[in-house]
Order: sequence, then C-alpha cells, then structure tokens
Amino acid sequence: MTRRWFWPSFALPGAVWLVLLFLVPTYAVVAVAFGTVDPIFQNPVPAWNPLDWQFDTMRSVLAEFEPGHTFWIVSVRTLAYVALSVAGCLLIGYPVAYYLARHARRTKGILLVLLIVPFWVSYLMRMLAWIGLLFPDGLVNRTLIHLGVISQPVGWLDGRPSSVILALIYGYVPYLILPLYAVLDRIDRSVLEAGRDLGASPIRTFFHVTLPLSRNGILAASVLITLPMFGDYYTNDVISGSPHTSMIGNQINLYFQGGTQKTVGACLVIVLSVFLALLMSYYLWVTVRASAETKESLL
Amino acid sequence: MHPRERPTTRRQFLIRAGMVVGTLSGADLILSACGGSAKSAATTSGTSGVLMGPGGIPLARREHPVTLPLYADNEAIASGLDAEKGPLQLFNWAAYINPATVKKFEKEHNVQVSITTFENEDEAIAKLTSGKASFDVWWTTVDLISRAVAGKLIQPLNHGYLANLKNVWPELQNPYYDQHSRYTVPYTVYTTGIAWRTDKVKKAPADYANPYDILWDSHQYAGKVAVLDDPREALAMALLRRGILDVNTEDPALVNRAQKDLSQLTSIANVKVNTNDYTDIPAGSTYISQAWSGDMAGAPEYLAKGVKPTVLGYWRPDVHSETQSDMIAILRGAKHPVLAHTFLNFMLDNQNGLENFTWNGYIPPLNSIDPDKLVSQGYIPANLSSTVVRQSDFAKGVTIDALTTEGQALWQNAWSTFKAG
Repeated sequence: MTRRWFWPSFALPGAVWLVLLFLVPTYAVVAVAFGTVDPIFQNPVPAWNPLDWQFDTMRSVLAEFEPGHTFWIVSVRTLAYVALSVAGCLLIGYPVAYYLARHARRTKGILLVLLIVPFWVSYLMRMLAWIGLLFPDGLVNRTLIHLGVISQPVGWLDGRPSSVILALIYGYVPYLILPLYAVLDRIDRSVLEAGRDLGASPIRTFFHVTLPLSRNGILAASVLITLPMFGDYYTNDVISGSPHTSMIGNQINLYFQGGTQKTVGACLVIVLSVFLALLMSYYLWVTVRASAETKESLL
Repeated sequence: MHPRERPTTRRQFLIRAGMVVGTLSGADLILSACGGSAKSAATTSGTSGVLMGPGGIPLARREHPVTLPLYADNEAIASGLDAEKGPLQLFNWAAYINPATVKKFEKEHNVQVSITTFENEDEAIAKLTSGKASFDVWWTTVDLISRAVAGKLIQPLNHGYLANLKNVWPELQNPYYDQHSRYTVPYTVYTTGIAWRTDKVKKAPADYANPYDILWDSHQYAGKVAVLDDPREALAMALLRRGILDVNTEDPALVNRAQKDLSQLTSIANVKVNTNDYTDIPAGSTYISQAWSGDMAGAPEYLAKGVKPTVLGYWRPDVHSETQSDMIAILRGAKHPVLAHTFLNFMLDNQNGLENFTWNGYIPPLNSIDPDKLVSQGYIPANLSSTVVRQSDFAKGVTIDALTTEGQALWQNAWSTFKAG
C-alpha cells in the first residue's frame, strides 16, 4: 500500500500548488464575474454557489464582441499586435537561438548568461526605461540624428502601433529564445550530418531538417509568449497611451481599476481565458500528434 | 504630485441608491437602527427628485447641500482629552504631503508619524474595509465621503479640537458635500483646464471663440495632444465645450455625445490618455493637454535646465471652471483619534498650509493665503497665475460630484468606448 502511494505522492506539492494558485483564483474570477458588488464600497461580492450566478453581465459583454463594437475592435487589434509581435520575436529570436545551439562554442556560456540578464529586471522597469530612450531628445533619436538617418526627432511615444509592437517584441523575445535554444540544442547532430552526406547544402539542410525538427519548439516558445501578450496592458499604457493602440488587457484593467462594474472586467478575463484555452488546445493537439508520429516512425 | 496622477482614476462613485432618509440639510439624522452598516434598499431618486446614494444619503450637489448623518454607534470623541503618544498613522496618496511639514508636526508634538500610501481609491477602500489596516487619518474626496459615512468608515469630528477651522474659506467651513464639516476638513483646491507649450503651439486657448476648441483643432500636433486619464474629467470637458454645465449628468444622450466628441480627438490628433501633464508638457513630449492647476503650478520644476517657465501656459474658464476640493478625515478605527484631530488642526494652520503648498503645488483653501502674493512672491510664475484658485473661482465653478450606480456605469461604458479607439 505504501509503495502504491510513494511515487504519486511526489506530485502532491505540484498538485497543491496548482489548486491553490490556479484553480482557486480561476474559480474566484468566475465567482466575481457572475456575482455582484457591495452596495456601499463597491467591492466585488463573489457568488461562490453556481446556483446564485447571474448571467446578465456576461450577456452584455458578449454583445460587445460583435463586429464593430467596443470589445471586438480591441480584440482584433490585440490579435494583430500579438501576431506581428510573435512573428518579430521569431525573426529575431530564432537566429540567436540557432547560433547559440549550433555555432557558439567558447562564448556559449557568457551568451546564455546575457540572455538571462533581462529576467533580473522586472518587465515594468524595462518598459519604463524605454521612455527615456524614446523621448524626443532621448538616446534613440539623438543617435539616429547623429548617424544622419533622420533629421528631426521621431515621435516614438506619440501613440504609434509600431512602437507598441516593437516594445512587445523587446519585452518578450528573451522568453522565446531560451526554450527555442533548448530544442535546437537537443537536435541530434548526426541527423544534420546525414542530410549533408546526402548532398544537401547547409541552407537546404536547415530548411529540410533543422526547421522541421524545431517546429514543436517554435510552437512551444510562441505559446509561451503569446499567452502573456494577450493580457498585456502596461506596454501600451507606457509606450503609447493612445486609444488607437488600446488592447483587450487595457479594457480589463479599465473595468477592474474602479467603478461599479468589476464584474465586466471578470467577464472579459473569462472570455480571454476561453480563447487562450482554445489556442492551448491546438498546441496540445499538435504536440500529441507529433509525439504519436515519432512513435510510429520508430516502430 | 496630485493624487489623480496615478495610472488609475480617483473617481469612484456612489453605488446602489438608498432609501430616502430625511431632508437635504438641517436636522441631525441619528440612524442607530442601521447597526453594523447602512446597506439599505434603494431607489435612485428620493421623493424630492434628488439622487440618492448608499445608506439613503442624498448625493451632494452645490444646489443640494447634504448634512451627513450621525450614527449612535459612531460618535465623535469627547472634548478635553489629552493627545495620545502616537505613532500617528496617515493613509494618503503618494507624494501629496510635504515631508518637511510632517517632520514639523513630529517635532512640535514629540510624536512619530508614519505614512502609508495608496495608488487609487479602490485600493484604499479595499485596505480600509479589510479590517486589517489600522490608520488614523485618511485623505479622501467628495465622491467617497458619503460612502465612507454610510459604511461607517470615518468618524465625526469634534470641532473643539479644530480651532484652525476658522482659517478656512467660509464656503468650505460649511461645504455643500459635508454641511457643518461633520466628518471632513478641506485639504486643497484645484481647477481643471488646458495646458500648452507657448513655444510650440501657434494659437493659445484664449485665441479661440471657444477655448476648448484648441484640442479639437490640434491636427497639426498629432501625437502631442493629451487628455487626463480620468473618465469624469475628460468627458466633463467635452460637456463643458458644448456649454453643458451639468458635469454630473446621467442623461445617456449627453454622455454619449460627450464620448463621441472625445473620440473625435483620436482621429484628429491621435490623442494620448494619461496623467503625465506635469512632466510631458515641460519635457515637450506633449504640446497641449488637459491638466490640473496644481500640476501646472509645479510643472516649472520639470523643465530642462535653461528653459524658462514662460514656455508653459495654463487656461481655465473664469466662470464654470471645474473646481474641486480634496479633504482629510479621521477613520472610525483610529487608535489615536485625539492626535489625529491635532494633526488636522495643524494642517489648517496658515503657515503650515502654505509650507505644504510650496511642496505639492496644490493650494489649501485658507483665508490667509493671498493669491496675488503667491505670484508676487515667486511661488508661482506670473504666466501661470491662472493656476491659482481663488475663493471666487470655487464659488463660480462647477464640481464633479458622485453619481448613482447607473450613472457610474453609463460614464464608465462611454469611457470604455472612447478608450477602445
């Protein structure tokens, strides 16, 4: 009996962690979304009993997701920003991870440390640092003017979508490089050598061997940065502040910050979570299918 | 720095309307039956057509002053008590009180003062209602007072300890939101207007037939235009531009039109929404911005070396300007209520009020502070004299007051639509 429970008990801390820090808070958000607010102080009053849930707020929130309505507009914009930012992260991050895994030798250790350094500084602090850099008389403008690239300071902080997307790329690219590096580093070199032995050029080997083998890594790393990007609101607040660049996270923040409609904020969180859960399901399906294909090929 | 200069709004409003209890002013309301809290069934408006807030407290308006109710289980402290030894616990917005003024109080009364700050009113309310926080003095706003009273969060004041209340402008010794100053004493007054860079913008607000139009005529300054990240302030400005003086309206047609007007700024000038008026205008990253008077009074401090304050301009209407006051209250659970009264009295002292102003830029409504001298003595540059709030400004101004639950939702949804772009 003791043996039967010995190994599964190792999963207990993780299970407790998951319950306390994920399931309970998630249920709390649901209870707030379908609950009410305190009539005096406007604090949310969660409806813990599903029989007490009220669905009016969710209905009105979903109505705002119809094309042309408020939440539809910010959702489409968010989707576009996240897609472009993930693409940008991959364009920058993949070559870096590839170089680290394949070509960095003596410098590999120091480069890995340098990649981890951004994690030491909080995301918010890194974003705030950009304010100083992107100011009209900031380092970026002064450098570009000095190099003759521009003659007048560029208004990077004037509510430009490009600035928000670049900031998202800057903020999240380290989170993409490390898992991608781990996958690329694990690719069996003999497979690459086999490709070369069969007469493939380095570029052809990359596109026909390395890239397909790192597909799951690309997907995993992309998922890792996509999830927080969808809920991000601070990047837009700091770098732009314009309604033109507002994201769904900004709307959630707006309703949670104050007022009588914190239930609306909680409903938005649920809608976003469901959407992200669908994205995650696709990722899991691809992963499971790839794993099955690998097993089949080995048999 | 003014409390509104946070990434969040201060305007948190009254919610569920309450039963009509009593008249708008006059007789004391002893609601001893309310017990633990005053959560009562609600109607939006009372029999007199006045909007009602929580606990059956009418929503204060200039034309409908409110005497806040007293409760049998929440009485003021007795007279003639000795002040406690402290430490006095202050619960305030960040950077809203001069540290030197606090030190002076510590020295004069031989006590320690501890300051805990909050970022927004929701956070403050959450802490105060958690039952775990233990503060003595709290900085609050017109929006929150009746909620704080209905929820018995603050205690009535004993005026026997507040001899300096006589220093306050007569109108604010007996303010419309708290008749007879039962629960609060005023702290600062300020206006909301438009700030601009005189060296970057060709036409000043005064050059327009309707000065608010400077924002709607700012296409050439796209990306350099901002409104305050505060739904009540920004939408109220759009209402005032249309000549609508009821900035507390709950008429959906008016609020939605204000939202549409505000949304035009996004297409005209890619307007930014923030509370960085006091840094962005001096830095030149914003040329035109809706702004608070206190922020602009302090803005010269943020100018780069060698740049003269004359590059800064601030306009607000002579009449019907948005004019607000902030106030201080003593919490019901204060462990040092007598010392807290002493502190309130200290802040109402003429000299202490002036010292505090020189640090935070927001003027205390004290009779002794001569607006003209603030300029002539160099506290405020002459070109920013419009940031000074006079007693007459307050009398002629309009005030952003609390809304009903439905009204809050209306304004918040309009703000959400504007911010969606």
